[in-house]
Amino acid sequence: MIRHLFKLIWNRKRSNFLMILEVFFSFLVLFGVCSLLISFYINYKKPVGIAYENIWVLNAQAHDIPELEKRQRLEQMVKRLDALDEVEYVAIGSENGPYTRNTWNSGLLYNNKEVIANMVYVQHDAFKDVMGLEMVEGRWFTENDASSNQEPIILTLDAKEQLFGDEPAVGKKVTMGHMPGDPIIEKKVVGVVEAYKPGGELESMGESYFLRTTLADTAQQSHSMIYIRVKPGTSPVFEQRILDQVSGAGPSWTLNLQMMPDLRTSYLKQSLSPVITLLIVCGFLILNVALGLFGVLWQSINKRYSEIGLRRALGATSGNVYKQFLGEILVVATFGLLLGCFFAVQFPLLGVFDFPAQIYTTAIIVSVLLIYALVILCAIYPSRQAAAIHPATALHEE
Amino acid sequence: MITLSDIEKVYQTKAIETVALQNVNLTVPKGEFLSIMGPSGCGKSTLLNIMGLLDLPSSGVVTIDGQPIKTYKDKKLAHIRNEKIGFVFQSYHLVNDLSVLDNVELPLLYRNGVSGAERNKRAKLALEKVGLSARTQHYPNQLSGGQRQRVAIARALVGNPEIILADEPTGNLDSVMGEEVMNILLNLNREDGTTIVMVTHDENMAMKTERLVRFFDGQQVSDSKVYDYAKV
Amino acid sequence: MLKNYLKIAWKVLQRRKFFTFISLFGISFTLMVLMVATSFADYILGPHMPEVKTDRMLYVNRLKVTGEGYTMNTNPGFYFLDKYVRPLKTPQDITIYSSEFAYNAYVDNRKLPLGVRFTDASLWNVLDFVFTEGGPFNKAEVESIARVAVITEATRENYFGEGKKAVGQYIEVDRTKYKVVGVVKNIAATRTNTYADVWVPYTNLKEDYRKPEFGGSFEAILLARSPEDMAVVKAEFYNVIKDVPIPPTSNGVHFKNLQVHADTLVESFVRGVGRVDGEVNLLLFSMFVILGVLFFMLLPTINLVNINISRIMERTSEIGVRKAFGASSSTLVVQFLVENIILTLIGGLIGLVGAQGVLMLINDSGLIPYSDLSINPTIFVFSLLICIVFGILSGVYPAYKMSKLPAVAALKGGIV
Repeated sequence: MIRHLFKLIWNRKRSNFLMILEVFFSFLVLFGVCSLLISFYINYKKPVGIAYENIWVLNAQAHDIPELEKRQRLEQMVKRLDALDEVEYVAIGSENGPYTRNTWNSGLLYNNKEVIANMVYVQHDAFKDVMGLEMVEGRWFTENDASSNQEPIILTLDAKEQLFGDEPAVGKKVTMGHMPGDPIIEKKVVGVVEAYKPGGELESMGESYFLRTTLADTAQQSHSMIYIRVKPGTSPVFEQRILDQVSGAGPSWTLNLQMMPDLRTSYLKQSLSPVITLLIVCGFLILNVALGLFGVLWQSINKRYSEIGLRRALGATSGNVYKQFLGEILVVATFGLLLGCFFAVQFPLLGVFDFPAQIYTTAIIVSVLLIYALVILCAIYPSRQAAAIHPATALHEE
Repeated sequence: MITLSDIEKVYQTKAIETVALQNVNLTVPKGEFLSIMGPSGCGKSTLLNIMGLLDLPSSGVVTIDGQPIKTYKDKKLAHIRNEKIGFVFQSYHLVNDLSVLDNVELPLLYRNGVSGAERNKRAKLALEKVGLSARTQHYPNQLSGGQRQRVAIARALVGNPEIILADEPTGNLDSVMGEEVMNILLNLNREDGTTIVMVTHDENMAMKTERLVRFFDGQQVSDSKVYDYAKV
Repeated sequence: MLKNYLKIAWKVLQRRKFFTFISLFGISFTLMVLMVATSFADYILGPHMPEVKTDRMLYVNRLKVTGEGYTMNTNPGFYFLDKYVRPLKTPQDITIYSSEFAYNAYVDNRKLPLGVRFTDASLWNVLDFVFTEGGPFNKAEVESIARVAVITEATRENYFGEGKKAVGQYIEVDRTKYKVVGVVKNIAATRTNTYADVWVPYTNLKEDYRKPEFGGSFEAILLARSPEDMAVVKAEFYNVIKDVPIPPTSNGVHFKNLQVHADTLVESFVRGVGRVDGEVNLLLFSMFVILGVLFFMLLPTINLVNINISRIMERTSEIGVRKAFGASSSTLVVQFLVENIILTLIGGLIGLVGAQGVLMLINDSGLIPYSDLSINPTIFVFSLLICIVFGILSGVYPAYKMSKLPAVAALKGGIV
């Protein structure tokens, strides 16, 4: 029977051409949307690793004051903030904090394996507690690291797995700085944290590493993002108190305080609005196609009235007719999908857009299933109509 | 063998009630070639539809091979049509998008347990019988009317039915082609013993069959033996 | 004849309501999306307050220096613009202002995020702000580092309270108090080059904007004397830029190449979106846009073609009768096209209403701060054009198929 249907559709390819084309383009649209959504979902599944709810971010930019004074002032600010009751932890870190949309990527090498990761400078050891990071191996930075002759580094699990696989990482040495002309710096892994994805939920890069600096260490660049963990339930009014505490630093400072949940909301809004627009537009495109297919199928049954009667006369049950019509649309869809898959597989083969191949293959499978579901849905009612046609009257319609 | 007893068919619409058949009692013995004549609208086609189980009578009983039909469900009726009855129509009703061979195979598709090879073999055999072996890969619109009707006959007999119901099989054909088609039907009847019931407008054709029943206004008006093969 | 066409078209649309519904649904949605998109494009790239004289304006807002595997993309700095761009002779006027600085103001324990631009006084001449209270600050005030500010109506409402006057009062930004001298109508956030909540004299900047560095956080707009004069201004600009000595080193990196551009609003947008380095090829960009629109219209068009063919098949006997009574194929084609264009126009009308609704929804949602999206005459004409293109596109193939139907077959209703 299946061969019969294929033969029938193949011989009718001219009149079915438009339907095949519609299925083809609908598939491409679905494939694109699915790829995007699946990649978002995969990114979303990667833990962010940051307990963002009670983190406030104070950006303290100094203008044209001597480096030493700047460092002293920053140290003072941290101390004063730490003394406040509502504040649990304070730490200065590099400017590429979570949801700030600042990025700073750099490579890390081990045994000729390289991983590109977010490079995070931690200027106070409380950074871990501010962000709420979970250790899975080794330890976090301590005071003793300053006196150690081995410079410590901490990786996220993602980065560790890329470099070391299943082996433990603690104690191993990695190198950074392999741009031509840069000095090669060796670092010793002291710990691995579960996750830290400063790019936010929809970011794919979960690889990060942390380097330790202190304000006292003048050989290293100083940073000026102050990350503050406040007690749960702290009122936003407390913002003003924080600013009061730090504004004593002088007029040459620009101070900007933001709450991480707000940063996250605006980040999500900005990232998701175009996606939601795309989803709505594509949803309507597909609905449009579905209605069209429904109408065309319905119409085609009128056209094939006598053929249906004939088949019934030759011994087809109404169930046979029903199945035949459903089968035909499935075959039409298959032709469109074959064409569509041919184009879709080019994406993983040619490595378009840097998505992992797995996303494309999942997207292809999901889109194929969706298209089949869609055409079946469109064909159920017309096919039922076809099955209900009375053979005697159908054969007399000339 | 088909027996119709006390068949009545009434078409009911909102406004009017049309009686298509009334008080029809007819027995077609196995191996008979029966022709039915009558003016347009006398109920011939309705009768044929009821005989072919395409339509159910309003009252009365159709018996095929001694089995009364009235109670059968759609699925069972389709099965009987497929196994025991072959149809030939005035306007051929071939599927334009299928080749001649595929058209002939069609009834076997609805029969369980017939393999593709078997279908192919039987369809070719049936086409041979109607003299169209050379045309298996053609499409219906590449054939003449007579050839199309021969394909339709091949399709009717491919399932080895006991009865072939032909609704004005020569109605769309000129006399030469009509003759051709008629001869094939006669041969089938004589050589294979297939029971044939044919509705026709053509006296000449009717005269070649064994028995002629005339209808007028939904009623049987005459029943006569016209031709005795044994005498030939 | 046309009246006759219209009458038949109307009858046909009423005959199969379901098909009419499907067609209209597809058409109106497609056109609605296109109209909303057009309206957005116009809102970003068309002349809108405060950038009204876009046909005379050239934007200098990107600077790129490269050297030895090092690339720096940034805004131009004040020093660079002041030294090389300000002295240009051909423009009627030049304004140099900072990019948007984000600060938080605190009002009654409520945080109020403010976008602040540090600007010269020419800004008020080059751009067309609508003052609803007070007026701009002048050159003398800028030079004397006056603590004065122009704010938007929304800022006035948020900072001073609803219905209050602001001129003469003080607004505190980054712990500095500025006296409000003027209030302007809100600027939509889509005007990325000029959007702000507060404008203050650039001399109030805390950081040393006079540092002799090329990069920084400033931008400039050159105002030509007339649209025809744009080429002259551009020529002078590039002539000056080509002779700018590249600073030998910065942070130990040797720069080799400097790129700064004076772009029209559209060019500037394309440069940003397409990351174009050299001359912006507007033709190529338009091609991309048209291709994108066509791709979007493809699926609805195929769908409509498919439905149209179904409709025609249903009318084969009508077509046969018309042919039999002497209608030529071309009359039938025209008849069908007219029908289809009428259908599209009805769909377009529904789409227009829908688009207006969507735009109002976007305005109300606050998705784009202070947006005032609407369908203006330009967009309306453009939409009409899209409708007709769509109608022809989706009608031609079915009409062609229809004209090919042989009269006899059409009468018998049999189509191969």
